[in-house]
Amino acid sequence: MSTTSDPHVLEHIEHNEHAEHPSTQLYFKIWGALVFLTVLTVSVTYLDMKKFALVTAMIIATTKCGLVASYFMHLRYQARIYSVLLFVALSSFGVFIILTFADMSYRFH
Amino acid sequence: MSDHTAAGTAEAHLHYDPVGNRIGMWLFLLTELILFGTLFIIYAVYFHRYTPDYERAAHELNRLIGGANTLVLLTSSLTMALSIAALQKDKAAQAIRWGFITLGFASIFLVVKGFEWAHKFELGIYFDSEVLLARPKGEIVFYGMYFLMTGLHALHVIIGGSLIVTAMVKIKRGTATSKRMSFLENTGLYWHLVDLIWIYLFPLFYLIHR
Repeated sequence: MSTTSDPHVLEHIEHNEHAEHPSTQLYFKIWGALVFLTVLTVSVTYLDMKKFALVTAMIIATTKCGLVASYFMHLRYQARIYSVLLFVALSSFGVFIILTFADMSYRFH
Repeated sequence: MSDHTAAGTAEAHLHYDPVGNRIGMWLFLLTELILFGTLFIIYAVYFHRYTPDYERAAHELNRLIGGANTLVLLTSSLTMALSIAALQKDKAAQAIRWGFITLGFASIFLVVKGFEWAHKFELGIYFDSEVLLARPKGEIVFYGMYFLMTGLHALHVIIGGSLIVTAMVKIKRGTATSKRMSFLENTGLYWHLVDLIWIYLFPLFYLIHR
């Protein structure tokens, strides 16, 4: 724990938060990509994708979330600690999902 | 920290800690992810069990209205980001303008959502209604999750909107500036989280039908 209680860690994080942020043009490009993906995810439901429909929708949604988190929420431009925190939370959530479905596969038959 | 005192004495009493503020906000957002994540797991368990019922019920939600509302919310995320970018460049008036545009999109989203709910109520579909309880189990669960999750999400939109109003007042009063970005930035983080959650809610409720 010596590294986390060290006051210099916070200074180090602050130092890494350089002024660089996405430009206005980049924000509009990301928005354009998000609009495109939304139109795409609605459009593909008119095809008969059977079992792949849900998987496709989730892949597109995850791509959109990645864009929002990386650019609008500035994760790409900030110290790695924020991405690490998010990764730990999502991994824990993944454990919940795996355990729940492992349980379910023996429960409903 | 002692070597900072020379430069920081004037502002030292303000106790402004942008890194701490941001880490705290992120930790809070992660608890929000778990809150909605738990509901997503409940949704998934019953989807697994009652897939045909879910797909039939989802067919009754209008994917074009849902899609349009998704675009509204995505655009509000853009205008929120632009508001923060403007304040960073000391353009307070512009930041406030983008903030109000964001509020406008938030209102459109809520009004559309309200009409969708009202339409379901007219059809007799709401918690514990006779019409709903007469339907197959999976459809009852689907609509239960629909009202619960979109309702909780709408509550977040309302809270996010209130935060934006507060941020705009702070900018107007000069207590949120390019040197003190935390409040507006954290408002933005919250707003983008509301967007992130909707990005998953939309396909799960509107697009799963065959």
